[in-house]
Amino acid sequence: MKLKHRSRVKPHVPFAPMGDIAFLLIIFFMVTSVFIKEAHVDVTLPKSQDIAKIHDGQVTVSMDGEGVVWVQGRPCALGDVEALVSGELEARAENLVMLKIDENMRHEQFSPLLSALSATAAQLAWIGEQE
Amino acid sequence: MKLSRRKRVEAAADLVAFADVAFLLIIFFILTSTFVRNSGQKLELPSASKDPENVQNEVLTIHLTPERIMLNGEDELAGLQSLREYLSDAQLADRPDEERLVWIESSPGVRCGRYYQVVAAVADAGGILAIFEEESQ
Repeated sequence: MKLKHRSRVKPHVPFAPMGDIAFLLIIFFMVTSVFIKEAHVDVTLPKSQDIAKIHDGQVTVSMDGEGVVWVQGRPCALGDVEALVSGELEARAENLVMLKIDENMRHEQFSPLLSALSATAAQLAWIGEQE
Repeated sequence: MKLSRRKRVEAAADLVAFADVAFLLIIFFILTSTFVRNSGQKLELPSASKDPENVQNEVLTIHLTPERIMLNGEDELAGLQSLREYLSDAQLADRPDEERLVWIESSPGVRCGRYYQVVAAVADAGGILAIFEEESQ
Protein backbone atom coordinates (compact mmCIF):
# COMPACT_ATOMS: atom_id res chain seq x y z
CA MET A 1 0.00 0.00 0.00
CA LYS A 2 1.27 3.39 -0.82
CA LEU A 3 1.24 5.85 2.08
CA LYS A 4 0.50 9.44 1.43
CA HIS A 5 3.26 11.85 2.49
CA ARG A 6 2.00 14.44 4.87
CA SER A 7 2.92 17.96 3.98
CA ARG A 8 5.36 19.23 6.62
CA VAL A 9 4.52 22.41 8.49
CA LYS A 10 7.68 24.39 9.12
CA PRO A 11 7.87 25.37 12.81
CA HIS A 12 8.06 29.09 13.34
CA VAL A 13 9.27 30.61 16.59
CA PRO A 14 8.49 34.32 16.91
CA PHE A 15 11.70 35.95 18.13
CA ALA A 16 10.53 39.55 18.14
CA PRO A 17 8.67 39.35 21.52
CA MET A 18 11.68 37.56 23.04
CA GLY A 19 13.88 40.55 22.21
CA ASP A 20 11.24 42.88 23.64
CA ILE A 21 11.08 40.95 26.89
CA ALA A 22 14.88 40.86 27.15
CA PHE A 23 15.15 44.62 26.72
CA LEU A 24 12.36 45.19 29.23
CA LEU A 25 14.34 43.09 31.71
CA ILE A 26 17.48 45.15 31.04
CA ILE A 27 15.56 48.39 31.58
CA PHE A 28 14.07 46.98 34.81
CA PHE A 29 17.52 46.02 36.15
CA MET A 30 18.99 49.39 35.25
CA VAL A 31 16.18 51.40 36.82
CA THR A 32 16.05 49.40 40.04
CA SER A 33 19.83 49.17 40.54
CA VAL A 34 21.50 51.39 43.08
CA PHE A 35 25.14 51.85 42.26
CA ILE A 36 27.53 51.88 45.18
CA LYS A 37 29.30 55.20 45.32
CA GLU A 38 31.63 54.11 48.08
CA ALA A 39 33.19 50.96 46.65
CA HIS A 40 36.61 52.63 46.78
CA VAL A 41 36.32 53.54 50.48
CA ASP A 42 38.08 50.94 52.60
CA VAL A 43 36.09 50.49 55.81
CA THR A 44 36.25 47.43 58.05
CA LEU A 45 32.82 47.38 59.63
CA PRO A 46 32.43 46.75 63.37
CA LYS A 47 30.71 43.50 64.42
CA SER A 48 27.88 42.95 66.86
CA GLN A 49 25.23 40.39 67.78
CA ASP A 50 22.60 43.09 68.19
CA ILE A 51 22.07 44.16 64.62
CA ALA A 52 19.29 43.70 62.12
CA LYS A 53 18.69 44.19 58.41
CA ILE A 54 17.90 47.80 57.67
CA HIS A 55 16.46 49.64 54.70
CA ASP A 56 18.98 51.50 52.64
CA GLY A 57 19.21 55.25 52.74
CA GLN A 58 20.72 57.20 49.89
CA VAL A 59 23.13 59.31 51.89
CA THR A 60 26.26 57.59 53.17
CA VAL A 61 28.93 58.96 55.46
CA SER A 62 32.07 56.92 56.11
CA MET A 63 35.28 57.14 58.08
CA ASP A 64 37.96 54.83 56.73
CA GLY A 65 40.88 53.19 58.52
CA GLU A 66 43.03 56.27 57.93
CA GLY A 67 40.51 58.56 59.61
CA VAL A 68 39.44 60.20 56.33
CA VAL A 69 35.78 61.21 56.21
CA TRP A 70 33.81 60.49 53.02
CA VAL A 71 30.39 61.91 52.18
CA GLN A 72 28.72 60.19 49.23
CA GLY A 73 32.05 58.70 48.19
CA ARG A 74 33.92 62.01 48.15
CA PRO A 75 36.53 62.90 50.77
CA CYS A 76 35.72 65.95 52.84
CA ALA A 77 36.95 67.86 55.85
CA LEU A 78 35.27 67.19 59.17
CA GLY A 79 34.16 70.81 59.37
CA ASP A 80 32.19 70.46 56.12
CA VAL A 81 30.27 67.31 57.08
CA GLU A 82 27.29 69.06 58.64
CA ALA A 83 26.67 71.36 55.64
CA LEU A 84 27.29 68.63 53.05
CA VAL A 85 25.02 66.06 54.73
CA SER A 86 22.27 68.63 55.32
CA GLY A 87 22.42 69.57 51.63
CA GLU A 88 22.31 65.94 50.47
CA LEU A 89 19.34 65.17 52.75
CA GLU A 90 17.46 68.24 51.58
CA ALA A 91 18.03 67.36 47.94
CA ARG A 92 16.66 63.86 48.48
CA ALA A 93 13.86 64.80 50.89
CA GLU A 94 14.86 62.11 53.37
CA ASN A 95 16.52 62.06 56.76
CA LEU A 96 18.29 58.73 56.94
CA VAL A 97 22.08 58.69 56.92
CA MET A 98 23.99 55.43 56.56
CA LEU A 99 27.04 55.67 58.79
CA LYS A 100 30.10 53.48 58.38
CA ILE A 101 33.09 53.83 60.67
CA ASP A 102 36.16 51.61 60.57
CA GLU A 103 36.27 49.35 63.63
CA ASN A 104 39.84 50.40 64.45
CA MET A 105 39.10 54.10 64.84
CA ARG A 106 39.44 55.44 68.37
CA HIS A 107 36.70 57.34 70.17
CA GLU A 108 38.55 60.65 70.01
CA GLN A 109 38.78 60.22 66.22
CA PHE A 110 35.15 59.34 65.42
CA SER A 111 33.45 61.33 68.19
CA PRO A 112 33.67 64.65 66.26
CA LEU A 113 32.01 62.96 63.27
CA LEU A 114 29.11 61.78 65.45
CA SER A 115 28.77 65.30 66.86
CA ALA A 116 28.66 66.78 63.35
CA LEU A 117 26.00 64.28 62.27
CA SER A 118 23.87 64.83 65.37
CA ALA A 119 23.73 68.52 64.45
CA THR A 120 22.06 67.68 61.11
CA ALA A 121 18.92 66.20 62.75
CA ALA A 122 19.35 63.14 60.55
CA GLN A 123 18.38 59.70 61.68
CA LEU A 124 21.48 57.56 61.84
CA ALA A 125 21.67 53.98 60.67
CA TRP A 126 25.03 52.79 61.93
CA ILE A 127 26.14 49.95 59.70
CA GLY A 128 27.89 46.90 61.11
CA GLU A 129 28.27 43.20 60.50
CA GLN A 130 26.66 40.26 62.24
CA GLU A 131 29.08 38.78 64.75
CA MET B 1 9.03 58.39 -21.42
CA LYS B 2 8.17 55.38 -19.44
CA LEU B 3 10.17 54.82 -16.30
CA SER B 4 10.78 51.32 -15.24
CA ARG B 5 9.85 50.59 -11.67
CA ARG B 6 12.59 49.60 -9.36
CA LYS B 7 12.12 46.30 -7.72
CA ARG B 8 11.49 46.75 -4.01
CA VAL B 9 13.66 44.76 -1.68
CA GLU B 10 11.80 43.87 1.48
CA ALA B 11 13.71 44.99 4.56
CA ALA B 12 14.08 42.35 7.22
CA ALA B 13 15.80 42.76 10.56
CA ASP B 14 17.40 39.70 12.05
CA LEU B 15 15.57 39.57 15.36
CA VAL B 16 17.26 36.40 16.52
CA ALA B 17 20.58 38.20 16.86
CA PHE B 18 18.79 41.11 18.52
CA ALA B 19 17.38 38.87 21.26
CA ASP B 20 20.76 37.15 21.67
CA VAL B 21 22.50 40.46 22.32
CA ALA B 22 19.79 41.49 24.80
CA PHE B 23 20.09 38.26 26.76
CA LEU B 24 23.88 38.52 26.77
CA LEU B 25 23.51 41.98 28.30
CA ILE B 26 21.18 40.61 30.98
CA ILE B 27 23.63 37.83 31.83
CA PHE B 28 26.44 40.40 32.01
CA PHE B 29 24.43 42.60 34.43
CA ILE B 30 23.47 39.65 36.62
CA LEU B 31 27.04 38.34 36.85
CA THR B 32 28.66 41.71 37.54
CA SER B 33 26.08 42.88 40.10
CA THR B 34 26.79 42.59 43.78
CA PHE B 35 23.71 42.67 45.92
CA VAL B 36 24.32 44.59 49.11
CA ARG B 37 21.95 44.32 52.02
CA ASN B 38 23.06 46.48 54.90
CA SER B 39 22.80 45.43 58.51
CA GLY B 40 23.13 47.68 61.50
CA GLN B 41 21.20 49.62 64.10
CA LYS B 42 19.04 52.66 63.65
CA LEU B 43 19.91 55.02 66.43
CA GLU B 44 17.37 57.07 68.29
CA LEU B 45 19.13 60.24 69.26
CA PRO B 46 17.88 62.66 71.88
CA SER B 47 15.83 65.61 70.67
CA ALA B 48 16.11 68.93 72.51
CA SER B 49 13.28 67.96 74.87
CA LYS B 50 14.98 64.66 75.62
CA ASP B 51 18.45 66.11 76.00
CA PRO B 52 20.00 64.44 79.05
CA GLU B 53 20.98 67.85 80.38
CA ASN B 54 17.33 68.97 80.34
CA VAL B 55 15.93 65.81 81.85
CA GLN B 56 15.32 65.86 85.57
CA ASN B 57 15.16 62.10 86.04
CA GLU B 58 18.26 60.09 86.59
CA VAL B 59 19.73 59.01 83.30
CA LEU B 60 21.31 55.60 82.97
CA THR B 61 25.00 56.15 82.27
CA ILE B 62 27.30 53.59 80.74
CA HIS B 63 30.94 54.34 81.21
CA LEU B 64 33.18 52.67 78.71
CA THR B 65 36.93 52.23 78.86
CA PRO B 66 39.11 50.00 76.66
CA GLU B 67 38.88 47.27 79.32
CA ARG B 68 35.78 47.89 81.41
CA ILE B 69 32.07 48.68 81.26
CA MET B 70 30.56 50.46 84.26
CA LEU B 71 27.01 51.47 85.07
CA ASN B 72 26.32 54.88 86.62
CA GLY B 73 30.02 55.22 87.40
CA GLU B 74 29.93 52.52 90.05
CA ASP B 75 28.86 48.99 89.19
CA GLU B 76 31.31 47.27 86.97
CA LEU B 77 29.75 44.79 84.58
CA ALA B 78 31.38 41.48 83.80
CA GLY B 79 31.09 42.14 80.08
CA LEU B 80 28.84 42.85 77.19
CA GLN B 81 26.52 39.95 77.96
CA SER B 82 25.92 41.36 81.47
CA LEU B 83 25.07 44.71 79.89
CA ARG B 84 22.58 43.02 77.54
CA GLU B 85 20.94 41.26 80.51
CA TYR B 86 20.80 44.50 82.51
CA LEU B 87 19.20 46.38 79.61
CA SER B 88 16.76 43.56 78.99
CA ASP B 89 15.69 43.59 82.69
CA ALA B 90 15.30 47.38 82.56
CA GLN B 91 12.64 47.00 79.81
CA LEU B 92 13.60 50.29 78.22
CA ALA B 93 11.31 49.86 75.23
CA ASP B 94 8.20 49.97 77.46
CA ARG B 95 9.14 53.18 79.24
CA PRO B 96 8.25 56.77 78.31
CA ASP B 97 10.86 58.54 76.15
CA GLU B 98 12.50 60.55 78.94
CA GLU B 99 13.16 57.33 80.85
CA ARG B 100 14.68 55.57 77.86
CA LEU B 101 17.73 57.82 77.69
CA VAL B 102 21.07 56.11 78.01
CA TRP B 103 24.18 58.22 78.21
CA ILE B 104 27.32 56.58 76.92
CA GLU B 105 30.53 58.09 78.22
CA SER B 106 33.65 56.83 76.64
CA SER B 107 37.28 57.19 77.55
CA PRO B 108 39.74 58.13 74.81
CA GLY B 109 41.31 55.10 73.21
CA VAL B 110 38.11 53.03 73.02
CA ARG B 111 38.01 51.42 69.60
CA CYS B 112 34.98 51.84 67.38
CA GLY B 113 34.43 48.06 67.32
CA ARG B 114 33.94 47.96 71.10
CA TYR B 115 31.95 51.19 71.21
CA TYR B 116 29.67 49.92 68.46
CA GLN B 117 28.84 46.75 70.39
CA VAL B 118 27.63 48.82 73.35
CA VAL B 119 25.70 51.25 71.13
CA ALA B 120 24.05 48.34 69.25
CA ALA B 121 23.11 46.60 72.53
CA VAL B 122 21.47 49.79 73.87
CA ALA B 123 19.66 50.52 70.59
CA ASP B 124 18.49 46.91 70.37
CA ALA B 125 17.08 47.14 73.91
CA GLY B 126 15.08 50.25 72.93
CA GLY B 127 17.28 52.91 74.50
CA ILE B 128 17.59 56.47 73.22
CA LEU B 129 21.27 57.20 72.94
CA ALA B 130 23.08 60.24 74.16
CA ILE B 131 26.45 59.37 72.73
CA PHE B 132 28.13 62.47 71.60
CA GLU B 133 29.96 63.67 74.63
CA GLU B 134 33.57 62.78 75.11
CA GLU B 135 34.77 62.43 78.62
CA SER B 136 37.32 65.08 79.51
CA GLN B 137 40.53 63.71 80.86
